[in-house]
Amino acid sequence: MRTLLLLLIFSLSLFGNSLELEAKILSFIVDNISTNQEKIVFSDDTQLLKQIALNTKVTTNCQDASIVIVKDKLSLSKECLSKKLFVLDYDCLEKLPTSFGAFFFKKGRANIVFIEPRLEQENIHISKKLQPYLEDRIW
Amino acid sequence: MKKLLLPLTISSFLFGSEASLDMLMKTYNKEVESHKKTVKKNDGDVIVYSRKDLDHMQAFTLNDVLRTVRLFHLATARMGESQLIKSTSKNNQIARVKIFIDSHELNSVTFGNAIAQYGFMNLYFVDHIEIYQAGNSLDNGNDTAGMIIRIYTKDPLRENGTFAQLTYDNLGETRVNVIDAHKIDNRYSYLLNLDLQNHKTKTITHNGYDLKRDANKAQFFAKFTKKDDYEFAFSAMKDKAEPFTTFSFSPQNDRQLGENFYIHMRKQFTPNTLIKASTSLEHLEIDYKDYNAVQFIDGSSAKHLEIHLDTRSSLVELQHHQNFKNHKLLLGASFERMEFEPKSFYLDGSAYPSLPKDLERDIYSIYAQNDYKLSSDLTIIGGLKYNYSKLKDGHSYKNTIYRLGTKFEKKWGTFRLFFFNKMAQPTLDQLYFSPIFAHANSNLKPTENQIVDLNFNSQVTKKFNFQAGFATSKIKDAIVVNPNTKTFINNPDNITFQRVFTRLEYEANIDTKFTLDYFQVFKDKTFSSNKGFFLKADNTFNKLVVYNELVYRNAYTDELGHDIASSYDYTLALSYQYSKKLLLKLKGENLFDKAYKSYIYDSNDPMGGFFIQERSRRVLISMEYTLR
Repeated sequence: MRTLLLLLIFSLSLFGNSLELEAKILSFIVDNISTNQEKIVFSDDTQLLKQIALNTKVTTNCQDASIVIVKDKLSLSKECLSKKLFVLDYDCLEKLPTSFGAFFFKKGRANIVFIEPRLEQENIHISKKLQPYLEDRIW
Repeated sequence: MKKLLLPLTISSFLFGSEASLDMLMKTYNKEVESHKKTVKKNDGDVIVYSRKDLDHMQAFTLNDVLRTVRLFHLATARMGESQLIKSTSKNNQIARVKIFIDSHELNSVTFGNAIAQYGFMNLYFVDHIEIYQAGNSLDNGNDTAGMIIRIYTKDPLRENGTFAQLTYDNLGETRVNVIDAHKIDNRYSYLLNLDLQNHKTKTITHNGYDLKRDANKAQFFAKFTKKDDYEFAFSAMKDKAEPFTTFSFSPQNDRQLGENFYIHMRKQFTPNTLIKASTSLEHLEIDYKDYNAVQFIDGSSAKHLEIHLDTRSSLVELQHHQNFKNHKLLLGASFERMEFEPKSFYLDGSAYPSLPKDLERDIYSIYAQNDYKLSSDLTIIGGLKYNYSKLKDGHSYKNTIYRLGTKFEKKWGTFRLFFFNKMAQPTLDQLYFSPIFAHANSNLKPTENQIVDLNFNSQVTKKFNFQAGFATSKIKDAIVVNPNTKTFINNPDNITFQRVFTRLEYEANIDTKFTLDYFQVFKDKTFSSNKGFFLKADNTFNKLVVYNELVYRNAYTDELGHDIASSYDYTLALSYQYSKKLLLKLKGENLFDKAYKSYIYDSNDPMGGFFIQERSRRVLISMEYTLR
C-alpha cells in the first residue's frame, strides 16, 4: 500500500514539475542509446542532474562520466567536452561538433534531435524508439 | 483502490520501458506552456488562449480570438471594421476594453478603445492571450475597462528560429508573416516580426454604390531583451483602408490611412521592482469624396471631407512587488500624458472654423493591492487606486477605484468573490471634438461602475474542468447621445444587468479536448444578442490537427426594431505537419454563412439600410516554413 501511495505521489508530482519531466526525457534518451562504455551521466545543470539520478546512474565529477549533458559549454573543461555530448541548446549543437544530439526549444516547443553522422562518428547506437528524431544534419 | 489505479496507470505509462518519447514530449510541452507563468487567476474571470490554442484555431488576427469570447460579439461598424460590442448593447456602442502587449498598454487616446486599430492585428508574434473579465485587477492601466486583453509575445529563447507563413484565401486576400527570433548569447535575445496583408471582403452594393471594406495592412514588431534586466519593444502598424459606407453611403474617391507607433521599455531594477516607460503615436488621415453630401450635426454639409488627427501618449510607471509572511503586496505609481491634436479638418476645401487646440490630459495614479492568505484555504484580496486627471482647459477629475475580494480554495474547487468599484473617464472626443455625429460636452462626468462577481472553478476529474460565474453590475452616469440635442450626456438613469456563464472543458487525452462556454445576460432593454455559446473540439491525429469551432449568438431585435436571426459562426481548421520544416494549413471561416449580423442604417435611404455579416464566408490556405 505504501508503495502504491509513493507511486501515486510521484506520478502526481510528475505532472507538476517540468524539471522532473525534463529529467525523465533525458533518462529515456540515455536508456535508449548504447555505447561501448558503461553509461554514467554528468550535467553542468546540478538541479537537473539530481532529477536524472532518480532513474539513471550519474556522477558529480565530469571526468568519471561517459555521457555529458551540456547546458552551458563555457562551464565545462576541455576534458569534459571530449566525452559523448548531448546538449540542451540548439546553438551548442553547432558549436560543439562532437555533440550527438540536442534537447532544445524551437517554434515555442521542446524538440529532440540526433545527428546521424555524429552518432556514427561517436560510435553510438540508438534504439528504434529514438529513430523518429534522427536527422542527417543540423537545420 | 480504484482511485489509485488511474495515477498508477499513468505513472507506469510514463515510467515504463514502453513509454513513448512522443507522449513524454507532449506532456512536457504542456507543462511548460508560457501562460502558466503569467496568468493571474485572482485578477478576474480569466480565459486563456494558449500558444497551442492559437496555433490550432489558426488565429491570424486578434479578432479571430475576440469573436469567441463570451459576453461580447463582433459587429461590422459603418466604416467597415469589426468592433467589439458587449452583449445586449447597441451594435454601434463600442465596448470599452484595454489591450496590453506584454507590459505595454495599447492606448487609443482619442476614442478610449484600441480595438478599431488593433482588432486586425496579426498574431504571428504572439505566444498566448489572457482575457480578464469582471472585477479585474488594478494593475491594468490608469483607467478601467470592461475587459482586459493581455497579449504576450513569443519568447525568443523558445522561438529560436526564422519562420515564414504565406496565406491566401478565395476572396483574393494574401498575407505574409515572417518572424526571426534568436538569443544572441545567454543574456541577450531579440524578436523581429513583419506582417503584410491585403485584406479582401465581399463588396456590397447599396443604392447603386459599391461599398468596399478592403485594406492594405503592414505591421512590424521588434523586441530586444536582456534576461532579468530590461526589455525594449517597438511596434509600427499601417492600415490603408477603403472606408465602406463613408459618411453618406456614396463613395466616389475615398482614402483612409491609419498609423500607430509605440516604443516601450521595461527595466527590472531588482527582482521585485520595475519601471515601465512608453510613448505612442496614432496618426489618422481621412479623405472622403462622396457623390452625396454628408450632413453634420451643426447643419452644415459637404461632399469632400479631409481630416488629419494626431494623438500621442507617454507613460511612466513604477511597480514594486513584495511578499512577506502571508502577504503578497503590489505597490505602483504612474504618470501619463495624453495629447489629442486635430491638425486639419476641411469641408469642401474650407477649414473647419473652431478646431480645438492643445487638448492634453495628465493622469497621476497611485495604487496598492494586497493578497493576504488568512489560512491555508482562505485569501483576502484588497486593492485601492487613486487617479487624479487634469485637462489643459482647467477641468480636473479625482476618483478612487477599489476592489475587495476573497478566495476560498479547497481540493474540490475554488470560489472567488469580488466587489469592484471602477470609474471610466470620458474620452477626449466626447469632451472636446466630435463634429460629425454628436456634439462634444466638456462637462461630462466619469462613468461609475459597480460590480459584484462570484466565480467557481473545479477540476472535477483529471480530464474534466468546470467553471461557473455570476456577476451583477450597476452603471451610473453612462455616456450616451441625447437624441434631441445630439450631444454627449451622462445618462441620468442607472443601468443594471446580471450575467452568468459556465465553461466545461473535457480533455479526453493530451490530443483531444472539448470546450463549451455558455453565457447569458439579464437586462431590461437589450439591443443585441443576450446569450450565446462557444463550442470547440480540438483533436490531433499524429501529424494532423483538426479544430472545430462554433460561435453562437441568439436572435435579437435592434434599437430600430429590426429582427435579426441567430448566428452560427462555424470554423474548421486543419493543419498538417508535412515535414519538419513545412506546415500546411487549411481553414474555413463562417462555413454556414451565418455569422453575426447587424444592421447599418442609412438615413438618406427610404429603405433604411442593410444587414451585414461580421465576416464573410471564406477558405484560407497557408504554408508555414521554417527557414532557419
